Amino acid sequence: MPISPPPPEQRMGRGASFAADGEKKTRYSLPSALQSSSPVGYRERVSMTLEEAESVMDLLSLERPSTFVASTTPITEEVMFEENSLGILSSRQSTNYRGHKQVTLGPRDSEVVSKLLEKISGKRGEALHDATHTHLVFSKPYRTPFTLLLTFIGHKPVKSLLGVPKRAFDKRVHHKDDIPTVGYLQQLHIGILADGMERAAIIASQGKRRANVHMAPFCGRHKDVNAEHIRELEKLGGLTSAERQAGWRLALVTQVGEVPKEEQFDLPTQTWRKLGANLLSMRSERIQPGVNQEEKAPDAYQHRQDMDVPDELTVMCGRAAYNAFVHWIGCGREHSKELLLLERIDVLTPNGKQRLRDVRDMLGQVTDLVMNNLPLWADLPTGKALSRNAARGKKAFALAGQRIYVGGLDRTQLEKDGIDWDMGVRAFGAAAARSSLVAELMGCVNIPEGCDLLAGMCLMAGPVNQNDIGKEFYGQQDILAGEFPDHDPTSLLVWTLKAKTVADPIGNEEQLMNPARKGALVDLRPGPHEVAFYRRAGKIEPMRKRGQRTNTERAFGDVGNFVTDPDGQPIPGNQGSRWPEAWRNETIW
Amino acid sequence: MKRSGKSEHELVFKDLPTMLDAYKKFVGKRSGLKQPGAPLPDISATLESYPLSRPKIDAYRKVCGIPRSKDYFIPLLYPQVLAGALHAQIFAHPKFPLQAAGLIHVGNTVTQHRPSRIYEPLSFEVKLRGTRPARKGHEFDLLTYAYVEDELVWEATTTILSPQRFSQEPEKTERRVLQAPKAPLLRSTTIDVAADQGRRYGSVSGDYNPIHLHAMTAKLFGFKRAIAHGMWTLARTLAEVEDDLPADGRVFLEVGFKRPVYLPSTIVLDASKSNGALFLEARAPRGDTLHLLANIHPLDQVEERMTYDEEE
Repeated sequence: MPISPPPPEQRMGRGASFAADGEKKTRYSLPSALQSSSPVGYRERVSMTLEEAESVMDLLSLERPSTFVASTTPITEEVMFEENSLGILSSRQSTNYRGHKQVTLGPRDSEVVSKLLEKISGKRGEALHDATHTHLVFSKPYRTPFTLLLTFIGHKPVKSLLGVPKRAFDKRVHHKDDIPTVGYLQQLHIGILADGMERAAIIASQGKRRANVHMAPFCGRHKDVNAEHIRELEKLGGLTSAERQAGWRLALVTQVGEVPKEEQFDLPTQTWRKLGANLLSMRSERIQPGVNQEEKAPDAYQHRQDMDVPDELTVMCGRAAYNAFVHWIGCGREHSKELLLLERIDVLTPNGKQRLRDVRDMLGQVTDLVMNNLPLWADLPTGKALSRNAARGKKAFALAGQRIYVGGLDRTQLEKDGIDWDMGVRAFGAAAARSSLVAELMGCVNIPEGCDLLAGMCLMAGPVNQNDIGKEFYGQQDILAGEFPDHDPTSLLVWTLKAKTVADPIGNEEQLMNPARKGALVDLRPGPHEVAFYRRAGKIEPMRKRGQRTNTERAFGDVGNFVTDPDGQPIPGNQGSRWPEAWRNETIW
Repeated sequence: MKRSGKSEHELVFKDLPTMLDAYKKFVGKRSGLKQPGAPLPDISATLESYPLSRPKIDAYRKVCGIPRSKDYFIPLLYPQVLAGALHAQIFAHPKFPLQAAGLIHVGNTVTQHRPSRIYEPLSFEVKLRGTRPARKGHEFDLLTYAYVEDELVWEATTTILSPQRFSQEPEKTERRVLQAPKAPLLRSTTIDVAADQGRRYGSVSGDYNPIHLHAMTAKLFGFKRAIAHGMWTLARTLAEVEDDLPADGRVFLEVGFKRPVYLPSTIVLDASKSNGALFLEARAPRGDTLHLLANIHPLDQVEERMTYDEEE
């Protein structure tokens, strides 16, 4: 379902340029340089034809592979780089949270894993043999400056003197969360990554290899039943006791292997490359729910350009979410609607406007309560840093978008069906990510000349966390309670669909990449050596770290979708440099 | 062995001398050159059949980020690293009139007739040539030739500036100005140069010039901080384009070292290609501070052009 662009006379591109000598750099200027080991870089979307977009849509409804066959091609470093680039290195992540790392095992170790998986209970699919490689993904609890702030929230004035240290201790030592949704964020991120890994394997191998992702045995009640085997897997992945103490645990196991011809996907090489480049661009440019039309913004941002997210696309995104949920949970398609609860808010309708106002008011009340109840003994000495941070929530949690989904799960129904809560949350994360991908891919269809982009989606946990603070400490109801009175809803994420031609100021992205801002915002696009490791000859080695040299290659860079200024002048360091052939052609195992 | 003629002052080495030997002799005042463009004494240094060490080459590769070649070829600039010790011996020669401590490496050309292999011992011959007046002193060249038995496999011209103030501004010699053409970017990458880069490169090249080692020692020579070795910056830049070099390894490289790379810092390495030649640039990410400019041409192309020029 492609999106109609605005009429030609209204179209306007972002046209960001470098700040001239002596001119102050703003969020609307192009970054003066990029220094990053990430395969993403500053990228733009590549226009795809409707046929191309339709042909790749099948990749959004992949079934598990039935079997692996003996591999016909060696697994080179290059292959692994492209697969990881679309997987762990560009998985959608929440601000400041770098919660995953991955250890990849070769074919021999993969057989060991396969045998262990056979013994493990709670699998949704079979453990397969003949995997070319296996990824062990580790995850840690969600801890960011936001969770630090949470430590101070919801205490009575005098009791806070004891309550704050106790909560900090529990969080540090027992990995206890201040509010339940913060704990769910870890699970949501795992689900998002799992869904991405399925596509990463197939795109990187141009349809030859598929991923068999096992998530359920490593969470909820299965985690305890499988504890012994999980420890063995964690040992294979080199998990140290210090890491365990910091909360790192095995989160999922992905077996990758070549599939029989009938399960392979056949698409033109150009389509695979474009798709890969587009997936990376989607992790580069964000369509933020926010208002760009501030007075100081350049002219391009001030013009109205009429564009709508079509109703059909909104429905399509909703369907994609249910399909993904069914895929990961294994329930019936119709029954999934009893488990996954989606409230749709159409901002352009009168009811929608009112509903949005109500939600905003509800979240605003929570922010006010938080600010008024912060312990002064902690807030005053820090120059009111805590309350200033809390106040920022008003802006951060403001919902803006033409069509909005508020999603959650029915806890009671999940229990009745015997579905583990954590697995439900993971499947929900995967569902939200898949839904977003539909919107993002549709935003790449027939991009007209002079338009930055067409449509996309923003996934947000912030409003839900704010609602959760209200539920935990101030007696509020769940956002979804009114819409689903016969259910027991726990809202988990909000996603807003947007269509616009002028992308966000690219300077926003630089905040995530700028080392000087580290601590305020963390670059969510890690380099391979930071989160991806190989196990070779019993040793765990970081990917793409040779002596002092680390990766500066941008994956799918051959497509050339790098951001430039209007004259085609590139951002220094953005294009990157291809990893030496001698190293990329190495067979890993 | 087909070599150039005899020199007035010949230094013959059976083994590679250490830089430290030379450094000891740097101490003390030198006579200097009275006039701009005054000739330098005829000093040469030779080293016969020096066997290469794989661990040392691997250490050099690691420091410069160069992947190991499948065919055991040695890195393009490695002969220059070895010749550095001979260069230092020439500077240490009692007849050499200039103060070695202040010399600045401003440019280099390298001609690789064929890449040499790790198991082929190299013989070296280094000669002193010059001088010519330059903007801020005297410039002179060190000509280096590397042979495998009788075959000339590699040669280089190292251009050195000896800073000096003249009472009368000398007439400048015209020098070729390197320029990068406006060609599409092949690579553009930003790298961190660590604070200890000078020490790391010193450990594999033997060049422990104090200006590269520490901010405090560099300050003694007028630099605000320690600076990276120009040959490291060049080697690191070349490491990025290793796959873009002519497959037969026959190349002509010319480099101009512009502003020093202060340690630690971040530099952008850009590479573009036009008409078979590579153009390299190392510069600061912000502003227009250029650290080096280099061109690499396939040797056949250069030889062809030279033949054509001669016929003209």
